[in-house]
Amino acid sequence: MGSDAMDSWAIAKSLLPVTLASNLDRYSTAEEIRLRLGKHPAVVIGGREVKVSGETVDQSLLRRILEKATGASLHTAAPGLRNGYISYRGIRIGICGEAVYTNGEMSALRAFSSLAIRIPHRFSADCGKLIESLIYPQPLNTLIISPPGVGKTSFLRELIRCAASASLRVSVIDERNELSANLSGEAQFDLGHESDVLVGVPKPQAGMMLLRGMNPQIIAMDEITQKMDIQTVEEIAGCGVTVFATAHARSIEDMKKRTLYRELLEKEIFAELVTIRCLGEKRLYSREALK
Amino acid sequence: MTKLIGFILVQVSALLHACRSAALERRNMQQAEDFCTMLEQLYGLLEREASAMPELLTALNGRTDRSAASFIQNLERSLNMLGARSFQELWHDALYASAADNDKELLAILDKPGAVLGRYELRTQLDMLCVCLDELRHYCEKRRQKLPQTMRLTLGLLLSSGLLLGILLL
Repeated sequence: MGSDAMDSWAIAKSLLPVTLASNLDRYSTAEEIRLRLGKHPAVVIGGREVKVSGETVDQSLLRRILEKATGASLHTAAPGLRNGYISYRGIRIGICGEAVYTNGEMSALRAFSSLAIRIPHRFSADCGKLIESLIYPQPLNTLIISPPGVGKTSFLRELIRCAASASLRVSVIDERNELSANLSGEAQFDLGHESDVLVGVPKPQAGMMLLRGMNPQIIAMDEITQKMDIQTVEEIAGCGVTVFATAHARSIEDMKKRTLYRELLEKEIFAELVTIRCLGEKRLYSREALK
Repeated sequence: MTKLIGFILVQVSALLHACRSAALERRNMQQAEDFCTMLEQLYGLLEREASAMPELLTALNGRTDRSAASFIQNLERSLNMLGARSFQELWHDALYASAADNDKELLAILDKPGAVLGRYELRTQLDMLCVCLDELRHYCEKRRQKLPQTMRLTLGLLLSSGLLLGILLL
């Protein structure tokens, strides 16, 4: 297990009361901690939920976790809350509850009912060679796909770290602060020596800012989810800068079924596709050329 | 002669007690006003900058006086206990650690924001601070108006009881 993963597990447990955290000690390979109001806590291991002994989850527990995660400042997490999650030191906490509307627009969530504390995927040394092949002799435009929770972000983070440690200038668009887990300007995850991270800026704007200001050789971004993201990728690649990106999909066939990703593939921007699959607790990495 | 000295002592102690009550009442008023100023500043900072709670408390530290300053310092120090304890509990403890000897009505008003601050969206937090500030101003105004009346009553009661005791002694 990498030190990042160990740290992430420790960070996730630090959000919980001591008793619950100690009940979780034997589940250190967990991918998620699930807390649902009125139910027993559970962990997700190898894609399956395992019930954890102890008291059932109450509203006070959910509130305390969110207070800890936001530093008793839920209002500062409003943009994330509108999207159903908040970030805490590189860990994403998915949230369910009741929506609050202000002037007809959803402004926040309250009356929380479920939390999903997602621990970044442990990166195995097995795919080190795969990562090397995506960087040497020259970095290739690479798209990483997998279903949610399988490890796209962790793989991208490792790809960034390796590239930025190989004397390549990597600029990172970290829209949701998950890649770097930036805390007061300092990345909590190691993204390599030559990486520059822009946090909290939407991809289209961030892409332009980095192209103009940072003279990058590679720009990395997490989760292409809308048409504007594709335009950003196209503009970056059009400037001769390599792009590393991720997308939610099981396979290339799955991508072709969706209008957004079909359009992305038709543009032929990415040279390489890395697919991550889940097999029990293991992850399978496969690579195929797109051009 | 001894009875006369006793009478004078009783009257003086009644007077001193009345003065002490007045000083205590003024101190309570002062504390209420200090907390009122602190909450006004908190409202302003939250509305303008919507900063995180630790930053808000750091900004308030040094801008507040007496009990309010002690409250902010206590609360700031206790933030590292978040998770193990709720913010509401930390707020309550910090309040009682810095102003426990105050009037129960005032403490009840000041305790309220702890249940909402940092826990809800910004508008709800600001609304709660508004409600609390209104109640606090009303409390201060009520006490301010009552102060001379209370003082007269206390002084009158103490002096007349002292006088009665004096007559019995003489």
